[in-house]
Amino acid sequence: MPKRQAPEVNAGSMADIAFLLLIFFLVTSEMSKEAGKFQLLPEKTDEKQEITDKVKERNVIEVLVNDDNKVLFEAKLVNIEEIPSLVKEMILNAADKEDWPESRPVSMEEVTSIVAKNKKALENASEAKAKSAEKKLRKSELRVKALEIFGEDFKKSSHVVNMQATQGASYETYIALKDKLDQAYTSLRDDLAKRKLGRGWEDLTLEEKAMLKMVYKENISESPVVQ
Amino acid sequence: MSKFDGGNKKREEPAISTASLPDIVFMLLFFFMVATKAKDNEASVMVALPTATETGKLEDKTPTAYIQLGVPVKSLQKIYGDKTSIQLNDAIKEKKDIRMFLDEKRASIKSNYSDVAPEIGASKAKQMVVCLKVDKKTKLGIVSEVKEELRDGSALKVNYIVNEGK
Repeated sequence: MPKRQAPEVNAGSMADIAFLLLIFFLVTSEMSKEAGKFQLLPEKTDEKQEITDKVKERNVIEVLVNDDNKVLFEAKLVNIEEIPSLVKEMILNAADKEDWPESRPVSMEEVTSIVAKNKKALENASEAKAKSAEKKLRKSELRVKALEIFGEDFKKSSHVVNMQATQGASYETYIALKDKLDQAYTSLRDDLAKRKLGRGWEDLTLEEKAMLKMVYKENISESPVVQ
Repeated sequence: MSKFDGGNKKREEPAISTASLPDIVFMLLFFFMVATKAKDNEASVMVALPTATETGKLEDKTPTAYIQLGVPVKSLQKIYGDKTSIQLNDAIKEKKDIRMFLDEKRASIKSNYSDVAPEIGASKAKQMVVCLKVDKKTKLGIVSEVKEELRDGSALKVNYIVNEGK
């Protein structure tokens, strides 16, 4: 009797099965990465919030959206497209105007003393807190590096962008305004990066980006909506 | 050479083997399984997102909770009217339900870690980011009311989902 071979399993329908699975996943899934604008809400306080650190009037940059979705910058009606350049100009305050936000240069002693302080804190930190203490130390060390690179461009600005909106304003304008404010900061950082590093914001490493964020620190506060 | 051109003029073209087709399709399948995630819920409100240029993306493992704001879809307008409504999970809910929704989400994040490392679960629950999907026509009044609720529920990390672009 001749030896019979086991018949081969027909794999032709395998493709069909795989296609079915593929189509099932295509239909039931969505691309996972969504772009978003992040915001950290202020913590709720029980009493009516007391203003502990009063901000000088000259340091406040007022931006407001009203019911008609018009944007007011420092109480003047402006086109929303102008916001980035207006905010930039005020934060930089190149002409040192008296009623525009003030800033002062950061000194080397100041930043190195913070590093020393954080080093000590890390040595004394308990195991649970060691991680956050180390993070703090890294940050202060990065600040020293940033000062070395950016020198006198590294200023401590006291500005606060105060963003306000009315109840009837549309969400679209609100997000657009938020975006314009962020654009102002990105453009500031981009300018400095081009000047000092010879590259634009997009081409920087994560560390360089972090340093530039220290040089031009975002300070946007949001007032509750008004009637 | 006679082996190759030996007499037989009527040679048939060999059929293209489709044996590797399943492999190709499976590769596609795995790509989509990795690059996408399951749709979490059915839309009860219509949301047309606003656009923005300066955006960020959350890290993959960040725990999130989604809240949608918009006008109910056509089929639900008979029940809920055509005012801007709040969608939690897959149903339209009231503003006051947000607190409970947040607690539920935190509890479910914690339960993912409860067997192995409860302390990680607790810190993950604290890191929870609330993603707001808000229709661009929505008035800010209701958006800020929702944000107040979030503050009350001490969910302070908010991510406004937007479309990227000009």
